[in-house]
Amino acid sequence: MNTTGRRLELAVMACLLLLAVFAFWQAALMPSGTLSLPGPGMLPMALGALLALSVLALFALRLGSRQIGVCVLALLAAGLLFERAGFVVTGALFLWVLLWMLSPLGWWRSSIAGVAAALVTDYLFKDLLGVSLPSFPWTS
Amino acid sequence: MDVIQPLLNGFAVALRPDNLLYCLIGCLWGTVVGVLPGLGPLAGLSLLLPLTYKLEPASAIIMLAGIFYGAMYGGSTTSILVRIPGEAASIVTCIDGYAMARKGRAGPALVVAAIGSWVGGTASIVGLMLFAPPLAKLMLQVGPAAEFGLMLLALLALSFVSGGPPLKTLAMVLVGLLIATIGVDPITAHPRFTFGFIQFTEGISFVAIALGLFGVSEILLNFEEIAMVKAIRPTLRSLVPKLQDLRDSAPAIARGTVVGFVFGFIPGISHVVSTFVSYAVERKLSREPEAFGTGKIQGVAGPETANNATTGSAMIPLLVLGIPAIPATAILLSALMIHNVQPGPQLVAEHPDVFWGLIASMYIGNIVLLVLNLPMVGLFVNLLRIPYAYLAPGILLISMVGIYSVASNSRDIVIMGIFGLLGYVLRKAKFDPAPLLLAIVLGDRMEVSLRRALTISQGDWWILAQGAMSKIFIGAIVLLVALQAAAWLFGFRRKLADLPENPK
Repeated sequence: MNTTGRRLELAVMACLLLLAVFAFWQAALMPSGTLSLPGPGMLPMALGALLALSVLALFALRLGSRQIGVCVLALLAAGLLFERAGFVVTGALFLWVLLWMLSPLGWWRSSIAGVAAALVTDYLFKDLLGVSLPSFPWTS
Repeated sequence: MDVIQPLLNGFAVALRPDNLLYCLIGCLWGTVVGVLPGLGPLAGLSLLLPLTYKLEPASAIIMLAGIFYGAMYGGSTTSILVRIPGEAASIVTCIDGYAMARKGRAGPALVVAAIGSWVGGTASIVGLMLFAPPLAKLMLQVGPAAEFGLMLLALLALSFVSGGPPLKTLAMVLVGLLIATIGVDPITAHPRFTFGFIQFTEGISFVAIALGLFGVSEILLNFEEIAMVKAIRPTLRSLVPKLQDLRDSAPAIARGTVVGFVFGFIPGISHVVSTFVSYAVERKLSREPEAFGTGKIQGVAGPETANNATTGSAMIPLLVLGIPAIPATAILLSALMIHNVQPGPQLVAEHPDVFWGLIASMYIGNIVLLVLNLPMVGLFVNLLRIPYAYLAPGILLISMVGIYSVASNSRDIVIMGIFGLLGYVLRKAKFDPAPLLLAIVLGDRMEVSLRRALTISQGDWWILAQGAMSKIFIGAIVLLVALQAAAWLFGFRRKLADLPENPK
């Protein structure tokens, strides 16, 4: 694509992002109900959020390098997982995915490195430095 | 299962003089938009959509379906004679079709394209006729929960399968779903995104959106892309089929029929993809694959058959599930819904005149097109000589009158213009607006079925995975997402690993 096309593409993406934010904001003003009994605002809000996410992902792929996209996605997923699965599981998965994606290590060696590094980090921070970390779901 | 009696009743509907006329108009207009580069079946459908509001449902769908499959016939003409695809499904035909025309074999190319189109089209109607009623019976058990799963599956499949980058398609689907929420909430009647305008309480007119996105925006795009063309003119004599040509292309036509019919079920741009697949198959099976590209008759016969063979099978999801798999059938769906005919499993039982009338009219229409296309090829080619400066204002005028006639409201003309500009910008930025249209059509029903299901289950989301049908749909969704994610991850890693300056 030529530069005009690229610029136009970015402009459209920016507009879509604005639209998503606007829709989310407007939908948030409607009665949203509960998850088990969604009201009129629930779906548009979810749609706005999803649209914003997918456009942001498009931006990440277009503007930044792929590495940035992977890191951000992994961080977001880790945030969702952290308190449910504990630091050791989350950290091991996080490192495994990132190492596998970014380093020349294969998925097998990445997994070992991930587990080992997560365990060591957990020991260092929690036991030596006294940081309160939910290591496993059952220890918190 | 007895198909003879209902089919005869269908012919009684389709052979009524008025319906014959609508079928003829549809086929002719379809051929015209097929021939004209830049105006595709979508634009053709949306331009005539407003006119069907006054017709009865059977007549409306007979005419619109005629445009849909008529365009597949017309597309080959421009491909062969000018090497400009009249519409996307005829891109492949340009390769060997134009090469044949250069060698003075335009006649045979047009003939096998027309015959292949007829064979593929007719065979796929037989498939539609045999498969649709039993499938409809099966689908009658689908409740709101499974219906939601089905629609989600359709939209996801569309995002992943249709040529473009999945994220862009997904964004378009989401925008479409958001547009569908404009108006009063279907369950609680709470106004959404109306900003106090009473005009918006019923949502934005689908016809205005369709006409804008596909009719107007194509006209705008064409200003930059169309150059005047010189067509190769076939002699009338060369249009008499020769036995050797028919013998050469018969196997290609048979294979094209199968390829097209199978691909018709796939959401997205099945009719386009099927032509590429058919061309690849023919080249693979040929004893002289290197001759493809230099005017091989199989390279015309296969793809041209395939794109017509998708027309019947693409109707099956529409008529049986009420779910359009491709944008063209989304417009057919909206035409039926305007008349309160809800396509879906009940259609065959509740509106036999629509279902069987459509099938019968498709048999008739395919014969009409076969007869029309060959002798009138010269006439259609002349269409290409109309300067665009006359054509564009004319078409815009027709769309203006059409959209006004729907609701007698000039606001719709403005909306059409806005969506025309939107469609133009989106396409320029390489966003395909077709998924947006599909999402608008499905949006309301998707939300209603989800919220109904949740009401039935008193808020338990697991209802979406209960029942055999729901399990099948959910399973398919999970499989689709997993496959896509796996393909994406592995492809991603490969790309990253290839980078030499890979940061550690």
